[in-house]
Amino acid sequence: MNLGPTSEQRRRIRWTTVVLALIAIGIYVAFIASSVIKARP
Amino acid sequence: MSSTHIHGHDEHGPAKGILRWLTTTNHKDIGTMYLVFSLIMFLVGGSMALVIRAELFMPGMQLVDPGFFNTMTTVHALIMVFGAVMPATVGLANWMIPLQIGAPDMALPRMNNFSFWLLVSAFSLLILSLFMPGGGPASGWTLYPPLVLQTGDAFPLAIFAIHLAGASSIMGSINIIVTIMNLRAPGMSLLKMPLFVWTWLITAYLLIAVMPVFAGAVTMLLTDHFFNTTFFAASGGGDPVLYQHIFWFFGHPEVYIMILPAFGIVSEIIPTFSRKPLFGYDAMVYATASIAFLSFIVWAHHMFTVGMPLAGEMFFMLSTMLIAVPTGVKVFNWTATMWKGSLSFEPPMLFALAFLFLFTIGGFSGLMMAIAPVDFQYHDTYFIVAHFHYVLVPGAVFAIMAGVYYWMPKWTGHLYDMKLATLHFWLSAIFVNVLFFPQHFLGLAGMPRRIPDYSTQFADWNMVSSIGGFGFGLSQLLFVYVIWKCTKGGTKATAEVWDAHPKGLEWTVPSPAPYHTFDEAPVVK
Repeated sequence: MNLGPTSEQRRRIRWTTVVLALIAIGIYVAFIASSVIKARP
Repeated sequence: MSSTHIHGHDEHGPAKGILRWLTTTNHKDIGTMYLVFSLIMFLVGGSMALVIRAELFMPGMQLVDPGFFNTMTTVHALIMVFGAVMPATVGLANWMIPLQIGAPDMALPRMNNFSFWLLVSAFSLLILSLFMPGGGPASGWTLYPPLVLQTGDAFPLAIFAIHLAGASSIMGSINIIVTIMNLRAPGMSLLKMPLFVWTWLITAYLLIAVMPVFAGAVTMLLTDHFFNTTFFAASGGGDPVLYQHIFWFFGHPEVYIMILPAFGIVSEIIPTFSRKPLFGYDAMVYATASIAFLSFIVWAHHMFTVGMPLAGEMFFMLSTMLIAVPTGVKVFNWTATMWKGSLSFEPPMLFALAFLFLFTIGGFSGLMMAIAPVDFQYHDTYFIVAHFHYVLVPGAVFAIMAGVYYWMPKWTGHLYDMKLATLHFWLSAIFVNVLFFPQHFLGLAGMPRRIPDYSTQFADWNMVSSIGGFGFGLSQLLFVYVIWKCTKGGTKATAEVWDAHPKGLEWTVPSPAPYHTFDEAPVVK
């Protein structure tokens, strides 16, 4: 019988997902921001 | 969870009809969809390659105008990289990672479905961009400005398609990391994971690190095109070389994103058909991690001819050469695994062996062009085309085919036609060399890449290469037929499938793998 992830696993899954998503968004923003600084005349 | 929600999954299988595929959250269904999608893209991208090879069959302009030729080289590459090779490895990951770590499914099944359909949307847009006024994107897959900014109405479509494909990849990677880190069976420590799982874990981190960089670069292209920014235009204080740095900071790890899962597949197959455990498991894991790390500090070897300080050239030359060390560890360990093994040569092993030899050729030519002064001769010639096709076709694509032939009986429950699969191997292995090996000669003789016409001195080897291209392309129809035939029936496969008694949790479940597996987590000792 499959009960799916335990509540502790669910908590860790949510936490890891949010951290990884924030890292990805952070890298995206950081690269554009650094290019904005570099491209400023 | 309340007791009213506790129920087994055995009483319900997949939904019926098209809804099953649109709404499924099952990792096996989604894995199948990724694999079918990548096969379709492989055939579409392959057809574009045949347009290129048909035009290059002899000197002069025969079939297509130069603009369309450039579109073909561009879209062929984008489709093969982002639509064929990457989704194929994602499909294998979806199918096999939960089975290999003893998880009932991926950790984020709804996002898994969303990632897949986002990818389909991305490539529908990219292919539709071919029909826009002004033609499709034609600046090469690197999308260098200022050339790419001359693209017609296809430009926003192509950029949006890349954003969607990138978002899909990032979501897929998050899913893979979260699954591996949280849903491993009890007792499966990180250093007990199968190599395929390890290579995908490292690949997923690479993807999360570099996909946003590429997304940032193409966002800036978009604003340069439509909002009068000048990130990459010297006239407004920007720098086109900045784009090249950003692109290759993504682009070089991207190569490893395609090849690391291939390493994982081969690391599963060679021990099975050598009937020996993998030689140097820990070293293989550390070598994979080392390659991933080094992939971040070598990007400017793609730009030696752009011009950079001597110290920069030295750094990127030496760091690139350093990658040969962990890669050499891998090649040595695969060879050592076979040493004194009881080898048998089923189709997966044949493809894995061809991978070993031919990928290494691609690696050696890579070492040649790592030498900065030598690269000045090779840059933008067919030698480069030969190099990266050796890495990606008999490298990544052969490993994917090996993986499909290895695990297909587990997916379908049937053994496939071994004779036809072996014939497919030999035709592919011969024609892929006829196709790409002469391109080394053409490059060394000075033939530039991305040109629809060429001097008559290059005629003979181009003709040979084109014959190889059509031979290789037609051979893949046999691959499609073997897969189709296997899905329709054949000798029933046992749980272990192979006489070689493969190791791993995926071989403990029946063939075909039930719709829901590991309702109770297996314990790994």
